[in-house]
Amino acid sequence: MVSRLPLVLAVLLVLSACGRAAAAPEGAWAGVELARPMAKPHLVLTDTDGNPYDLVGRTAGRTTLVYFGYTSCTDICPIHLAQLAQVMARNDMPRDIAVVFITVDPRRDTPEVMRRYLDSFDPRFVGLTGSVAEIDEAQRMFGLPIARPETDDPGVYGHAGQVFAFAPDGVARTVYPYGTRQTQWVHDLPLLDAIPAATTAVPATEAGS
Amino acid sequence: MMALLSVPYVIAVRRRGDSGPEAKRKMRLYLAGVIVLWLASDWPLGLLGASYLASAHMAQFMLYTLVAAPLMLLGVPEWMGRRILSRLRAYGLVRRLSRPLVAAVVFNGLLLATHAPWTVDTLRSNQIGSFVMDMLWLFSGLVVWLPVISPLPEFRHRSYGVKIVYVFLALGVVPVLPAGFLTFADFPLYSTYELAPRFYGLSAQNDQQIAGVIMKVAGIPVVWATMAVMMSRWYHQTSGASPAPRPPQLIS
Repeated sequence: MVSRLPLVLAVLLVLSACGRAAAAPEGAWAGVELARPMAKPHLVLTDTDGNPYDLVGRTAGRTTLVYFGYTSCTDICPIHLAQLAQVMARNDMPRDIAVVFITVDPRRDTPEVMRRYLDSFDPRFVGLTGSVAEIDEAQRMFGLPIARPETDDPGVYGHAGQVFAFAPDGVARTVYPYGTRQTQWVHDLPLLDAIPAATTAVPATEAGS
Repeated sequence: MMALLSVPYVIAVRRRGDSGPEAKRKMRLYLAGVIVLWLASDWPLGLLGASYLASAHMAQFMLYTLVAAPLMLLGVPEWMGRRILSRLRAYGLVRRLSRPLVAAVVFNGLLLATHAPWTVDTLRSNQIGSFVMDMLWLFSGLVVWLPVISPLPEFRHRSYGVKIVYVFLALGVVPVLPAGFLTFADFPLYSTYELAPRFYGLSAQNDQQIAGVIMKVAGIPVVWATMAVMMSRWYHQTSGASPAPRPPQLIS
């Protein structure tokens, strides 16, 4: 039995490695799978301290959730952020997940306004803003329609409601639309976080292409 | 809805020319029940319970079943109860429903069904569904109190001992089980409340825990007060003494 121990250990090691490599085989996600995985776009915006924030550089090797919204939003945005805050507060969740909130209403969402808003959910959330042109370009890079104020109520923006989830390898395989439940986040975030940063197994298309 | 419940009652009592103190007392009890029903259904509690907070949803349930329903039952005079059942041809059905075991099963069955995530998320998604849920709660509240305070004396169980055990089990013990699920669940169970805008920063999980606590605790005063009154009546019945001066007669 003792002589077989190395073999058993080796088999277990191989099996666990297989499990890791195939952390989320196709169809295993609770989120909505993208038809084509998307690489994290190279964008630089302004964070809530007024400093440039290079999305790829600052979140390299980390699971990163990116969401476009605005602080005056009364329904989808606060619900998404509250859900994420509650999920991230759980002890069984990975610790180093970056949540990046990019405003689609840069005129009203100053860095101070965004910081105050995001702190009401989780002080670790990153808020990004920029000029209208920069924000429009950021949305294009994510392949999103450009958010615009509604004609009958200029204070309300029609905007994309999904959260993009990038694994540590910088690739988004899934998005999470409005209505995503905490059970779904709790299912997927550890799977995402288990994808090694250096993997090249998943062919990623350039963002927005 | 409230007018539909109260106007015919008042008209019927007036037509009968019943203006004695007992009739007035019963009318006050009945109308108090209707008012509680209205408070539980209308803004703000109705709106919060329908769309925002599981705790408000639970408060509504408790008000419907433990306050409004018994008050309304206590307020219905015997002659009116007989007339209603006769018109509806429901005497036999209600007689069967007033058996303690049947009433307990109906009440707790509806309690479990109307607090199951699928039911809540389906019914709360539209006004008709919410109305159906309210009516189911009112119905279950009326049924569960029938063996204790039915307007028709033959529907009340004769034994105080049975009634005390019944109230304790049907209203005090069984609801603790779903309350425990709500309190200790690892995740929000209802998408309706999980995906609602947060109310004063109250998280969906904490809201659900409050709902569980309400279900567990809010009924205690009603259940134990009812049991205490029945024990007192039982004691006076068996000792042959006349009951001490008592507040308005709540338990028949």
